[in-house]
Amino acid sequence: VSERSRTTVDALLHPVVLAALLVWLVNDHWGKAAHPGLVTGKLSDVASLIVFPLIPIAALAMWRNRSPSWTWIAAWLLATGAVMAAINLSSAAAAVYRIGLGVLQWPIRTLAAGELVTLRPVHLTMDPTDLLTLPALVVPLVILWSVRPRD
Amino acid sequence: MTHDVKRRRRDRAARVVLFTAVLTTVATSAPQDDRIEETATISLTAPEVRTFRVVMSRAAVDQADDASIEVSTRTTLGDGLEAVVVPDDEDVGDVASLTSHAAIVFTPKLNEVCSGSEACELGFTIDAEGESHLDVEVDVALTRKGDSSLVCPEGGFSDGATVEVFVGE
Repeated sequence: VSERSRTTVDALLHPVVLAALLVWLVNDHWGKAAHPGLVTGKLSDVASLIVFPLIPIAALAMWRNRSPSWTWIAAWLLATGAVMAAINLSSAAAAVYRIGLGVLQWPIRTLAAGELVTLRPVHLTMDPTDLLTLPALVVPLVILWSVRPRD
Repeated sequence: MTHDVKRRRRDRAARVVLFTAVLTTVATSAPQDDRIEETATISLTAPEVRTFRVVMSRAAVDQADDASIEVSTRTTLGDGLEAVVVPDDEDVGDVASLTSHAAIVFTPKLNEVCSGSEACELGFTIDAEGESHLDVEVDVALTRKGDSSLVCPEGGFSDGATVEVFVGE
């Protein structure tokens, strides 16, 4: 990994990102079920908007050994926001999300079960108020800016 | 510790975080609840008494989290045409009158009404009074909730989980 791309990869190790990933994990698999409500409902949305955009950005930096351009980063953040809005506002987009994520989960569920399991769409509650969490997309942008390569 | 060793450790840590983030993304939504359903239509000409039975396989009873038996009609009731639905087992629910604008929904607790190791059978009687034709629809649904985690992956019903509705003569 080159020094230039390392700074982008380092964004994944930023304390805010690590905390958001932990919150996302714990809240999705425990918090929402144990304490259903507004806070746990929105917590994962905020955490995912901080962590998710960094996945392809860091992966690209690792595998292509170069940091993506700021244009690419901005476009990706906007696309993430657009997808988030679409799945909460459009039934068709929500259906694509339910089936798409179900397809991605299928190999993991099959491996874990040790046998072929039925392909099942995932559960999604469409909630337009989730769009209030979209400003969280600024956080990964700020983190990437703070760790940017300084020539 | 040299700069290179530190760098390699950071790179490795970043890969672990990336891998965890990808898995968290994929597992962020639980699989949808699984349902098995069965529907039957019963035609009566009042005054008439008809029975129907809901038969659930043992696998279905063991795997289901919720059960609902919905009895409804689109026939206009009143003006002398009345009908009540009576569960054989009072633990399933109370006697209820059919109306044309709302369904009767029984939500029996399967672990209470379906104890034992055999298939579970719940009987009902529809008692229609008056002098008219009446179509009654019975919708049975068993739900198994999706797992909230991919660690226990299969939240769906197995092939042996079945539910049937038998209408008496």
